Amino acid sequence: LDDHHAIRRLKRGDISGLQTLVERYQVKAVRTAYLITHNPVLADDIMQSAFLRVYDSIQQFDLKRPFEPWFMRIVVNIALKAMKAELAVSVDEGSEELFPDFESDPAQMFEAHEMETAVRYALEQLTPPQRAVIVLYYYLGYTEGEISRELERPLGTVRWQIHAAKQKLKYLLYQFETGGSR
Amino acid sequence: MNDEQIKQAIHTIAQNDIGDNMNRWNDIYQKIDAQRIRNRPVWRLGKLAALAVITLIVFTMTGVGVYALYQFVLNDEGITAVEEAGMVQDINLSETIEGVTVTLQRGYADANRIALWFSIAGVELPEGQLVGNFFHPYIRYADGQILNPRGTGGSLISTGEFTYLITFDHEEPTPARGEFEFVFQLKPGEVYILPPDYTPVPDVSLEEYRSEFTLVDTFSFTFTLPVSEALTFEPDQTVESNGVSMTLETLEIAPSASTLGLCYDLPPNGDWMPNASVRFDEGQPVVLSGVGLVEIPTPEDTRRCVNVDVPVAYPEGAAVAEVIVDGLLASIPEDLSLIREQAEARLAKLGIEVEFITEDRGQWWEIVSKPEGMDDTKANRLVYDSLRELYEGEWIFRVELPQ
Repeated sequence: LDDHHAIRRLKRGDISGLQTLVERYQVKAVRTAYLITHNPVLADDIMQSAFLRVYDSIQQFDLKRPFEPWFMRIVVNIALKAMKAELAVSVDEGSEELFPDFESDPAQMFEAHEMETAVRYALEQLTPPQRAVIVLYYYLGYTEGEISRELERPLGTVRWQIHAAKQKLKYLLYQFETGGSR
Repeated sequence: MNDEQIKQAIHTIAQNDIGDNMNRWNDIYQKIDAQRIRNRPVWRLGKLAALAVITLIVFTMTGVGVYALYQFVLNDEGITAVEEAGMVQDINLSETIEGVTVTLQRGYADANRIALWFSIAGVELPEGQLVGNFFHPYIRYADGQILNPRGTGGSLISTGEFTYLITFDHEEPTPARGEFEFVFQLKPGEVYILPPDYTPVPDVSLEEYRSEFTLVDTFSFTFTLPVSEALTFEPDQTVESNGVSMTLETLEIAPSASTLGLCYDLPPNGDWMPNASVRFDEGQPVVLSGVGLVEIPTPEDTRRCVNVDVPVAYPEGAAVAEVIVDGLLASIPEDLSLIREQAEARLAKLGIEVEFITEDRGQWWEIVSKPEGMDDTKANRLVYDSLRELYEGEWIFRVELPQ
């Protein structure tokens, strides 16, 4: 069952259409939310909330549009909202282990997973909105135009945000690789 | 570090920290289910078996509730057909708790639904019409998903032993194919035992007829049934009639029932639902059993999509399935007096005379006369349909079946 047919089913009230979408997009949605929040439990909650939002608003979804960008926009927006309202959402006590504290043993981690660790470190230093832009651009592979459309922000603003986020990311990576000030 | 390296690293982090092995469907489904219960008032029953709806009209007003559904005999051609074809399996599991014995006798399952036959003995109740929820049957799959009953038929009169046939739709989520496990439970509760000749009386509470079970515990049966597969088609056929475009998007044919996926233009001023039937080859058309819960349309809604269940038996080897929608029907109004005259005129044309009774606590009708040979079920269904506004039209779809 492709997305189009699954959504048609869901629009008719057949919830098996939503099950198809959950099975297809749940992992990508949690990973997207996780890259923004650094919290696997919260990311899971965000993914589930996003699918509930899909269920509630599927009648407004235009079948001529692709589902994934529309859905991922929901995921990103809920993730950003959750980060703003940290007190209102569950906090994962184990998140530090998943996004390891670089400063605890930087040399060892650098050797083991040099590139990955560097990017982890850099992502941690970004604000959630900056991370959202980086995730959309690098993880979801959206163009500037697609990010502008999905986040409903002016293209110029998005271009500037992507540029600023990339610059900051690259600067932080440079710092990491050269052992610069941290 | 260039863009491609950053991209690769971010993908690696995501994959390493969040594994591929994930299934959150049950959690999401449970949240949706809870949400639906909270939102129930904005939804409306599209159409159930006519008798069941008649009961709802009476007893929701008098406070007994939807469990009145349980007391009507199920007239289900699809189940009858699979029973005659020997597709129903013996289960024969019994459990006795404090003198009450529940026996799960037989079962049948296909991709559309599950049917169970069971009996309850040892329940001490006064003689009379049984209405109530002293049992709560449901099915639980091995993975924890729960199915609530769709339709039930059984004993009308309490005589110490009750026998029931109950059906469950696989409407959501679609179950796994092949053999799987059910858990079936009964729970105690309260019932109303109405006198055999009881008719609704204004301002008379049903409280005096209430009985409660406190001694009965929960019964549980674990068993397996083979599941017959469905044939699935996506005809995507569109037919125009009386200014309304209707599309048959999907058709699922299981041995005991078929499910139609219909989308159509929504005429104004009504909660329109298709009056659909299905027949195979040149057989008798079987009318729908229901369209489940349908959201009440807003003035902005111009198109509606629904799943329609039709309890039609699939004769193996049939060459053509024909879906006939002979009109769109609006929901029955909450106050029957608004449509009484129109209904009486419609029924007169069919040779049925009926007396409508509207009271403070409920609404009812009595059939005064009907054509010779017409049974009560059919007459009540016609009365029920006469209370609904009709948007005329005819939409017929033919689907060639593989041989």
